[in-house]
Amino acid sequence: MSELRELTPGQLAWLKFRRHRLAMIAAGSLIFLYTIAIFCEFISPYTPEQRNSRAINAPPMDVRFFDAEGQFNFRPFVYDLELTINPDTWMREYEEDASTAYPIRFFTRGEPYEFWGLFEAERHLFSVDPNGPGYIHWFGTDSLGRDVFSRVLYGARVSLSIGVVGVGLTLFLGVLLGGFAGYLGGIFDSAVQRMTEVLQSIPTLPLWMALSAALPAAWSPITTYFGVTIILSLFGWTTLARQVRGRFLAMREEDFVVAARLIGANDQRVVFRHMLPSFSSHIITTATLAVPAMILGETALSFLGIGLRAPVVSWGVLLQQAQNYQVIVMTPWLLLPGAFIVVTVIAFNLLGDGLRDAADPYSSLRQQ
Amino acid sequence: MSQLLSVTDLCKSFAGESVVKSVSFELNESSTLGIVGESGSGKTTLVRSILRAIEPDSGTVRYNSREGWHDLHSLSPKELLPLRREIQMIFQDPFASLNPRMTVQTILEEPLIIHGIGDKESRKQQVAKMLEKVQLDSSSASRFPHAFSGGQRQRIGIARALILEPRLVVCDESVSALDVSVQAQILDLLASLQSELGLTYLFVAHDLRVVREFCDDVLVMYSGNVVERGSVEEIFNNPQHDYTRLLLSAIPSPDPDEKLQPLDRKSLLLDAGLTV
Amino acid sequence: MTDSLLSIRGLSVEFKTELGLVRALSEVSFEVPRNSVTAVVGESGSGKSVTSNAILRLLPDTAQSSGEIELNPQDGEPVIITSLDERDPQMQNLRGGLVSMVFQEPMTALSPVHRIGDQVAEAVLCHRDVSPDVAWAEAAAMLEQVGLADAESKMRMFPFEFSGGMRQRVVIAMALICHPQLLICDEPTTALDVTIQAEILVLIKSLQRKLNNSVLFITHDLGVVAQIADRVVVMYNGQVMEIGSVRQVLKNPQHPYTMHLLSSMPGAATDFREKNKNWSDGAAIGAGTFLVEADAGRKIREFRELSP
Ligand SMILES: Nc1ncnc2c1ncn2[C@@H]1O[C@H](COP(=O)(O)OP(=O)(O)OP(=O)(O)O)[C@@H](O)[C@H]1O
Ligand SMILES: Nc1ncnc2c1ncn2[C@@H]1O[C@H](COP(=O)(O)OP(=O)(O)OP(=O)(O)O)[C@@H](O)[C@H]1O
Ligand SMILES: [Mg+2]
Ligand SMILES: [Mg+2]
Repeated sequence: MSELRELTPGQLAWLKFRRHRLAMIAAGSLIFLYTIAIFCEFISPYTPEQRNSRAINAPPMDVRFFDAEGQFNFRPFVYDLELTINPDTWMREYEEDASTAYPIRFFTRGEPYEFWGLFEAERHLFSVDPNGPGYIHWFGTDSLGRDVFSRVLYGARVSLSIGVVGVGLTLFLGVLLGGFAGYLGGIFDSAVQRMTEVLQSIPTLPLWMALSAALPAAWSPITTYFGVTIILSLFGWTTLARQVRGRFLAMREEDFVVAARLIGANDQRVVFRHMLPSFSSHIITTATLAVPAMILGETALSFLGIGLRAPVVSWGVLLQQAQNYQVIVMTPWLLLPGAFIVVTVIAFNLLGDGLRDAADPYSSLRQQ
Repeated sequence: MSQLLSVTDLCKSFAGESVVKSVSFELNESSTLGIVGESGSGKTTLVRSILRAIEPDSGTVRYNSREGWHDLHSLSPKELLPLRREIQMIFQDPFASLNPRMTVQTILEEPLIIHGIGDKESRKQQVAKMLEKVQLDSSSASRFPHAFSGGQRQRIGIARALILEPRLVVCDESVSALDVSVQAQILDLLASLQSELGLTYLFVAHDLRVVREFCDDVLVMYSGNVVERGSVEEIFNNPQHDYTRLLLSAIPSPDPDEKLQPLDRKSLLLDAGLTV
Repeated sequence: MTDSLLSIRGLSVEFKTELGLVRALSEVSFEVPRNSVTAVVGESGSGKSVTSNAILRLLPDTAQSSGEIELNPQDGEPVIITSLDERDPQMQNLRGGLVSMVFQEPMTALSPVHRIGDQVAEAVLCHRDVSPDVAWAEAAAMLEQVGLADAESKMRMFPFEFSGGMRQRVVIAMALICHPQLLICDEPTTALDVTIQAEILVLIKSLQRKLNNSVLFITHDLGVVAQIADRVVVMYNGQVMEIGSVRQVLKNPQHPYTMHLLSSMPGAATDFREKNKNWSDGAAIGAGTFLVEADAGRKIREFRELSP
C-alpha cells in the first residue's frame, strides 16, 4: 500500500497500461516491425532490385529443420527448387528437390549495400552460401525474380516512417494552430475554426489525388516522399487542432490553471508548464491513433499510382505492382505486404486504446 | 485597525445576465469576512473579480498594499505582479487545484521562482518551512498530489497560497469539500496561521455553522446583491433581512430536540420583494 | 415475522482493482426497523454507498461480497437478497417496488428529454399493470404530496425548467410512487442549498410518517441526522462503530469515533472539541489498512491491501 503513494504519474500510467494485454502485444509487435524497418538492409538477404533469373515468380520456400528422412538438423536449410514448365498451360511450376539442400548461414557476405545511405557493407543477417548456386526466397519472388521478403522489409522502412513523420507534422500544425486558437480566442480562433471546417468538408481522396498529380514526375524519390507526407498531413491536422482547442478552452478555467495565473505566472508559463503537460498523454494517444490513417493514406495513393513510385519500395508500391487478378490466383504471395499493413494498422489501434486508458492514471483512484 | 480592501459598486454580468449587482464593502486588516448565500448568488464571481481572475464590467476594487492604495483593475499585468504576492487564494476542490504532474516541491517553489525570490537552496528551505507550518511531513515534498488525502491536499493548497507571505487570503469554499473532522483541522490551521501572520481572510462558504465559528463579519448575498452585512453576533442573533432569517432557520441543529422549522421560502422572499 | 424490515448480517465487500483487493466493508451488521428512519453516518469512503448499493445489488462486477441481507416485507415471505440471482424476477419486483432509491444528484436521475409527468407515470407503469391515464393521475397525486403546487401543469414541463429542489422532489415522488416499504436516500440533499435541504428533510420525514414506511438515510452531516433519524448507524472505514437511537448516539456517544465526529461539528463546545481532537483509530481497524490522519478525504480512495 505505502508504495502506491510513492508512484509518479508516469509509473501509474505504466501500471495501467501493462494491464492492457492486447496493447502490450501490439506495442511489442510495433517495436519488432520498426526494428526490422530500421535495419532492413542488414536483415534482408538480398537488395530490393537484385534479380534471380532462375527463380521467376517462385513460391515461398519452406525453412526446414527436418530432412526428407525425418532427421533433425541443427542448422536450418531450404531445398533447391526444380523448375518445370507445364506443357499444357506453359506456366512455370516449381517443385522442391529434396536431394539438394542449402543450409542457411548467418552473417554471410552478399550483395553490397549502403546502410542508411551512410556507409557501405555487405554482411547480411542470413542467407545461403553466396558462392554456391543456392538461393533463399522466404516469401517467394516476383515476376522479375526479386526477393519479396527483402522488398517487404525495405517497404516497411518507407511505409512505417511515413506514418510517423506525417503524424509528427500533423501534431506540429494541430497543436500550434489549435493551441493558439484556444488560448488567444477572438479573430484568430474564428479563422482557424473556419479553415478546419473547410478542410474537413472537402472529400479527402479526390483532393489527395489532385495534389499528388501536381507533384512533378521528375522529382527525386526522396522529394516525392516528403511531398506525399506533407499532402497527407495537410489534411490530418484539423481533427487534432479541434481537440487541442477544446482542451485549451476547458483547461483555461481549471482550478490549477487559475491558481497558476494567480501566483503571477505569465501566459507562456501557464501554457508550457501547466496546460500542455496536462494533456500530453491525450496528444500522444491521438497521435498513435492517427498513424494508421497516414499509413493507409500512403498505401492508397501509391496503390492508385499517384503516390510513391518505383524504384521507391513501399508497401503501397508493392501492392500496386500486384494489382491484377492473375496475382491472386497464380502468385498470391505478392499480396503479403497487405498482411503487414493490416497487422500494423491493428497494432496501432490497439496501442492507442491502451494508451487512452492509461492516459488518465488517476481515473482508477478517483472513480465515481 | 486599518482598511485593507475597499470594493465599490462592483458589477458583472455574463451574457447579459447580471450576476453581481453593484456590490460594495470594506475589509479591515487581520479580520475575517464571511460571504454567504445560496448557490448561484454570485459569491465566486465576486471574489474572482477582486482577484482579477475575472474582469468586472464596472466598479472599483481598491487595495491598500504595503506601498499604498492601488486600484487593482487599472493596473497593467506588470504592475499587478508585485501585488499578486499580497493577495492569494485557496480553492474549493483540493483535487482540481493542484497540478497532478508536479511534485509538491515544484508546486510550492513555483510562486517563489515567478517572483524571483531566493536561490535554489534557500527556496528549498522555504518550502520545508512552509510544509512544517501546514503540518505536513518534510518528506511530502518529493511526492505527487495524488499521493495525499483530501485534507492533506488542502494543506498543500494553503502552503502554496501562504509561501509568498500574502496579507489577504481569499478562501472560496475552501473547506466545503472536506469531511467534518478534516474541516475542523483545516479551520484550526487557518485560525492559527491568522494569529501568527496577521492574515486577512475573505471567506466564502455556504455552511453557516462554519461561518459562525470562523468569521468576524458576514456579508449575506442573494441573487447578486448584498442583502445584509454585520458582525457574526448581529447576523446570527438579530438578523434584519428576511433572506438571512430564512438561511438561519434552515440550519439543521445537531441536537435532536431542536426541531428544524424552516421558514417558508416563497412567501418570505416575495414579501421581501425578491424574485424567487 | 420479526419487527425489522431489513437485516444486514456480516456484510463484507471487497473490490478487485489493479492495485490488489480493496476492502470496502468488513462485517457490517445492522437492522432497519419498520416505520422509522435509520441514518447511516460516516466520513467519505466509510462505505455508506457500498452498503446501500449492496441492498439493491447495484455493486459493479469487480465486487465480491459475503454476508446476508434479508428483507421482511409487511405481507409476504422474507427474501434473502444476497442469495437472489441478478435476473430473478423477484429482484425486479424488489427494485423500485419494495425498495427504491433516491440518489445524490437530482439531475442525473431524470431524463432531460422527457416531460416530468411522463417520467413519473413511467415509474408506475413499470411495476403495475394500469392504464396510462391512471398512471398519470397517480403521478399527479404523488407530485402534489411531495409539495409541488399545481402539479398538473408542472407535469408538462421538462427537468431543466425546474430548480434543484423541485427536481429532487420529483425524484422522491418517483421513488415513492410504488409505495416502497423501504426508501433508501443516498445523500439526497448534499447537492442542494441549505434552505432547500431543510424543505426536503422536512418533506421526507413527514412523508415517512404519513406512508408508514421505512427510510434508510445516508449522510455525512450529523445535523441532518439529528433532524431526520430515529436510529443512527455510525460507520468508519467499512466498519460499524456505533448503533443506537438518535438521542443516545448524539447526546451520549459511547464510541470515541462518534465523539470525535461530534466534536468536529462546527459550533461544537470548545472543551469537548479539545478533548476529542485527535482521535486515533488504534486497534479498531484491522491489520493491513492504511490511514492518513483521521481523514479519508472526500473522494480519496485509500487502497488497502488485504494482508494475506
Ligand atoms: N464564466 C461564466 N459564464 C457564464 N455564466 C457564469 C460564469 N460564471 C458564473 N456564471 C453564472 O453566474 C452566476 C453566479 O455564479 P457564481 O459561481 O458566482 O455563484 P456562487 O455564489 O459562487 O455559487 P456556488 O455556491 O454554487 O459556488 C451563476 O448563475 C452562474 O451560472
Ligand atoms: N467500484 C469500486 N472499486 C473499487 N473500490 C471501490 C469501489 N466503490 C467503492 N470502493 C471503495 O469502497 C470504499 C467505500 O466507498 P463508498 O462509496 O461506500 O463511500 P461513502 O461512504 O459512500 O463515501 P462518500 O461520502 O464519499 O459517498 C471506498 O474507500 C472505495 O475505496
Ligand atoms: Mg462558488
Ligand atoms: Mg457515497
